[in-house]
Amino acid sequence: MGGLFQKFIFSGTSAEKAGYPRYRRMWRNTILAVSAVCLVPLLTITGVNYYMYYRSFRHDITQPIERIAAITKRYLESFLEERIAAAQYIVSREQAEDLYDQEVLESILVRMRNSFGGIIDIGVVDSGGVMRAYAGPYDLDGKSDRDQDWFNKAVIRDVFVSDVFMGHRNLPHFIIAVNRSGTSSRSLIFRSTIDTDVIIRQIQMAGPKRDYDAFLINRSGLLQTPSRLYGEALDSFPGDIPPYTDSPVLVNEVVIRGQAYFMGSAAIKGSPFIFVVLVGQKNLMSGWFVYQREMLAFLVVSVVAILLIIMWITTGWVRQLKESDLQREATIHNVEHTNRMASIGRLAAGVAHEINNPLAIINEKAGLITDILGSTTETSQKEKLLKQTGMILKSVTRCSEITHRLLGFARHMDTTHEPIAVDSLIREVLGFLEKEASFRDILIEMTVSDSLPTVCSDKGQMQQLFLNLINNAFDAMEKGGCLQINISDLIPDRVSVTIVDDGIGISKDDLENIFEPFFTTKKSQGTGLGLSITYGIVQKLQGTIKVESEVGKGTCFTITLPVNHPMLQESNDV
Amino acid sequence: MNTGAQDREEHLRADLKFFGRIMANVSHEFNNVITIIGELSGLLQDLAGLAERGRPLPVEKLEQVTAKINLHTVRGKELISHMNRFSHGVDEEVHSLDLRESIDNLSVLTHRLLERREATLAFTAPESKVPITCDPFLVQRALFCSWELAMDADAPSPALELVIRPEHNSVDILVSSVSGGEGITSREEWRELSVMAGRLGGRVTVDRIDDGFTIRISLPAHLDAGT
Amino acid sequence: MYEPFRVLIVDDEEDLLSTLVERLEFRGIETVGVQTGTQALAEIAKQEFDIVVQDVKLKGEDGVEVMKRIKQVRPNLPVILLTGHMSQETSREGLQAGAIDYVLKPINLEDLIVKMQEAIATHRRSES
Repeated sequence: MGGLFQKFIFSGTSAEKAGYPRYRRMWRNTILAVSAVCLVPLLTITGVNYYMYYRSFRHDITQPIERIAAITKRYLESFLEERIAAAQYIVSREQAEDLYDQEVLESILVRMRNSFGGIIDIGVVDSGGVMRAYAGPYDLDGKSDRDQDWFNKAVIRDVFVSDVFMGHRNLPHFIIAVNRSGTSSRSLIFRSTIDTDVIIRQIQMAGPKRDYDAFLINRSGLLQTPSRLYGEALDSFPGDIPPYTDSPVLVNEVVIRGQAYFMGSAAIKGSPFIFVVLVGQKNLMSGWFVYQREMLAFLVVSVVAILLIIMWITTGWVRQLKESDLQREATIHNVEHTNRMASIGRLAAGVAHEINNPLAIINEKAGLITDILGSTTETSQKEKLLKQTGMILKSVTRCSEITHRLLGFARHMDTTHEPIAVDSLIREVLGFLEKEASFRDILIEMTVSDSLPTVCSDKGQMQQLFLNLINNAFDAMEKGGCLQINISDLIPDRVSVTIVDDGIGISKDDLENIFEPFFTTKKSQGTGLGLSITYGIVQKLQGTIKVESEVGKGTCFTITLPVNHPMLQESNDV
Repeated sequence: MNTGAQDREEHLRADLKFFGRIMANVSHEFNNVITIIGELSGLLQDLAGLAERGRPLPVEKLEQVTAKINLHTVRGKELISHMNRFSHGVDEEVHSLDLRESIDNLSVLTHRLLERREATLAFTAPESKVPITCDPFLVQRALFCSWELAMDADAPSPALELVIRPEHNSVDILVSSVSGGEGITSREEWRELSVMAGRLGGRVTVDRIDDGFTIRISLPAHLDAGT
Repeated sequence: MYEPFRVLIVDDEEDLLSTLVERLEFRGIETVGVQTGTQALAEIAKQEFDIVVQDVKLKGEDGVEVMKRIKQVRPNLPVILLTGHMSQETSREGLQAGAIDYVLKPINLEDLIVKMQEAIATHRRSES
């Protein structure tokens, strides 16, 4: 991600590498946050929607299957009920002896066949398992079913429905047996064999032709009716056997032999049968899969688009931020530069201005001397000459002082580190402002602690610092004030300078903002950058500055500067 | 601090260094001037004292000495006036000026420096004004840098020639070393000069000539007509 | 008036040189003034001086170098350096090279003369 960042924002300009970590963090955090805000709801809603739609879709699919299973179950159950009810009626109405009568049985068969279809034969089996009477196409009279499975099961129940089995003539059928219990002589089992054809037709009628299969299986998983997919009756159903429960219909998704199906199943009550309907998932779900694909595609495209847009916007924003930060920094730097140059320019111009006075005096006196020499009286001439030359010499001394001050100021103008005696430096600065102070009638008092440590720092910047502050104090005092400067080393490893004026002061509200750029209390003039630049200088010198003030009373600036270890760096002399 | 800020720091330092150098030079020279004035006045006092011993005032001599005082006073005033003009050059970063005056100002202020290197600067100012809008301080700094580069040639007494060629929208300043110098010896100073030329919206090149080389500083006459 | 001694003044400012020479001569001090180091060495070769007063900055020459050469030729000749500005570097350099004292410009002539006398006295003491 860092590489991306580099590419978009800092492409080519390795210059700004220093600010890189901060902007990178900003870029990365913004993208993560906005992405989270955008994507989490999107994904959540999409997820919820997807799930809901899936459920609805599935419901639309499974419902018909359910219905088919339910209808078929009801049909089969009523099919069995009818025949069971008929058999029970017959058994209860007729006498045992009648039932054992062949002719009676045959007429019953006829009547039954008239009422329902699918009855292959009926028979009456006594409690010993012997077929006492039989009506039907086969010759089963007198046969013993004692060892037959169905008999053993039927004997212990009122009603018994058997699994489908291959009977005589290899046709699949099943038995409905109704038990008429009583004393052993009267108990008998009325047995009817049902042809599965009707059922089969009914089952297979229900659904569509493709991808669809419906059949009955027993609880051991053997097909009871033919299945399109899995074979004929009594073949094994390859899938998991659905549970035989009382609950109506179950629909599940299953995989049989690698194919996916919706399987509806319903246990046929009162019988060993389970109705199974299988519908191929692929076709049914094709609509769903299309939706799924489209949804996913939409999601992916949206997410990618959102991310790209976020990245693009964030990149643009961070780049702009960086640009404006740089610009602001550049502006401040430029202003500081201008300010610094302007103040030294003014100092130098001030020096020139100052020197002009004694030079003018010298000039004037020299002129006077010429006049004196031109006059006639001798004795006074000498006196006058001496007087004038004396004044010239005074002016020469004055010029020399100013010049030396200028030189002290000019040397090491660009040195960043040298040992500085703060009191000397401030006196130097005051020297430059001497003229102005006397012009404005400002009294300056300075007190210095004994054995003040030297401060290793940037002389030029320190000069500018105090120049700014003292100029400010002057401005606050207008005319006839008192400026007190105190330099002490009470705080260990630091030199403290307090500059106190008795000028107009600063209000409490203004005090809060006084170091802020573009804040000014000078109504018409000033950029408002002065004190913020001063503050900046204090920071560069690793010092502290604080201000106390009372309107009408005055202002006190307190600056502390670190002493540091003297790091003598000799710069080149001119 | 990014390198943009580092560059600006460098500029500031270089500006300050140059300013300090000029000021230091002026103060030395001015100090010399007033030293002479002081001595001359002292001499006046000595001579005036002669009258005590019954000798008449050596009026003619005194007048001579006074005349010398006047000479040096004028010299001092001129120096201070130039220094004042120079100091005002940092007031504005954009100013319309006459390049001839800037050069004159600079040569007066650096005369002593050139003299100590035993260098000579031959300059014939063009007849008419050479107007240019630029940073007055910076253009003087650039000029002086080019003089120093031209002087760095190994010759014991470097000879410099300065020519201004005003064009339609630009001004070419040609600083030639005609004392057989090989070329630019200080890469650092050349880089500084290039930076300054850039800041002034122009550029600087160097060509070999018969007995030395020429540094050509091309500057736009107005800030928007950049080269 | 002072005890006579002979001083060589080396300064590249013509008017200063001539004025100094004149004022010292006025006070009975034999003074010779030259403007360059080369001239100074020539004069030293030609005649004896008790002391040299030399400006630290000379045209085309390094003042301290000139002094060193003077010292080479006349090791016992005291040299006072004239300077426009006192700083640690210049004073250290000059004193290490053998200057006996420094005088600040603008010159206080009486002060210079006293310094010259002291220097000469010290030198004469060390000679004997």
